[in-house]
Amino acid sequence: MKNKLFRLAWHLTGQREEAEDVVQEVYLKIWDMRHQLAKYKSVEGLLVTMTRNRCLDGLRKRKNRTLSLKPEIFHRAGEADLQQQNETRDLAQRAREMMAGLPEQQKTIMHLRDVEGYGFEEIAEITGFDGNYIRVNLSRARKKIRTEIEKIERYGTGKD
Amino acid sequence: MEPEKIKILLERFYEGETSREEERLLREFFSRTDVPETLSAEKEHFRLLVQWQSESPLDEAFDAQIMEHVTAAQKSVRPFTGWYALAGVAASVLLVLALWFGNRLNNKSVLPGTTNNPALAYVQARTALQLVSGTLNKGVRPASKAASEITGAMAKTSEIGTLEIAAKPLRTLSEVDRAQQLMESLNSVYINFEPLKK
Repeated sequence: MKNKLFRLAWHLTGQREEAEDVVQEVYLKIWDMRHQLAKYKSVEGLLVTMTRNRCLDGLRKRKNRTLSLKPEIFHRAGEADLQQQNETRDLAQRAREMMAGLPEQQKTIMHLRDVEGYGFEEIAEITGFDGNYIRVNLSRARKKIRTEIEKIERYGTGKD
Repeated sequence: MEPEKIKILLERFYEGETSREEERLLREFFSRTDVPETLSAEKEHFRLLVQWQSESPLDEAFDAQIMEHVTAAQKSVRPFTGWYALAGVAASVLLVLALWFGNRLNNKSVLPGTTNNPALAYVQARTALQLVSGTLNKGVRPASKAASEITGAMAKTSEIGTLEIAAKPLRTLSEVDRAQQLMESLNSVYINFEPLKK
C-alpha cells in the first residue's frame, strides 16, 4: 500500500523527496484518524484520495511560490543532447518527465487505471469525476504518452 | 491473438474504452518478443506501464521513520504524568492508612462487639460504614489539596530558596491528622456500643 501511494505521489509531484513526505504525512494523518476509520467504505480509497489531495496542495503552493517546473523540463528535453540523455536515463524516469507535462487530472486518472489497475467506479469515487470525464481524460493521457514515445523514437533513429 | 484484433483493441485503448480484462490481453501481447515493428511505440508504452507498476522504492527505513513519528506523537499527548503520579502516591498513602485503621478497628471490636441479633448487627455495620466513608471523604479532600499545594510550593522554593512558603501549605496536612482522630473516635464509639446492647 505504501508503495502504491508513493508511486501516485511521485507521478503527481514529479519529485521523489516530496512524494516521500506526502506519503509519510498521509500515514500520520490516518494514524490520528484510526478511531474513525469504520465510517469509511474503503480505507484504501481514503488513503489514495488523501494522497492525491495532499499532492494537489503541494503543487498549488509550489505554483504560487515559483513558476511551474514543467516548461523547464520540456525545454531541456528539446536540446541537442536529448538522444544521449535518453539512452542513459532510465525509461521510467523519462516517462515521469513526460507525465509532468500532463494536466493533473489526466495524470491521476491514467496512474490509477494503468499503473494501479483501478476500475472506473473506484476512480470516480477517489477523484469525484464522472465516468465520461474519466474516459475522455484517460484517452488524452494515453495518446499523449504515445506521442511522446514516438517523438523519442524519431530522435533516436535519426528520422527527424 | 491476431494482429487485426490487437489493432482494434489498441484503438479502443487509446479512446479509454477498453475493459480491464482487455487491457490485460494487450499487456500480455506486448510482453511477447514477436511484436511487429509497426507497433513499437505502443510496445514501449506498455513496457513503461509494467515498469511503473513494479516500482516499490519504499523500504523498512521508511516504516521505521513512520513508527518513530507515531510514537513521538503519542508521548507528547501525556503532559499530566507528573501530577497523576503524585495523586497516585497520595491515594496509596490513604489506602494504607485506611487499611491499617480498619484492621485495628476490626481486631478490637471482634471480641467485645459481637452480637447474635442480625438486625442490630446490620444497623451497627451501616452506621459504622457511613461514618467511615464520611470521614474518609473529609480526609481525602484536604490531602489532595495539600498534595497539589506541596508541588506548587516546591516549585517556588527552588526559585526563591525559602522553606517558609513550603511550610505553610504543609500545615494543611494536619487535616489528615484530624481525619485520623475522627476515625479513632469512631473506633471508640463502636466499642462503646457494647454496654448499650446489654
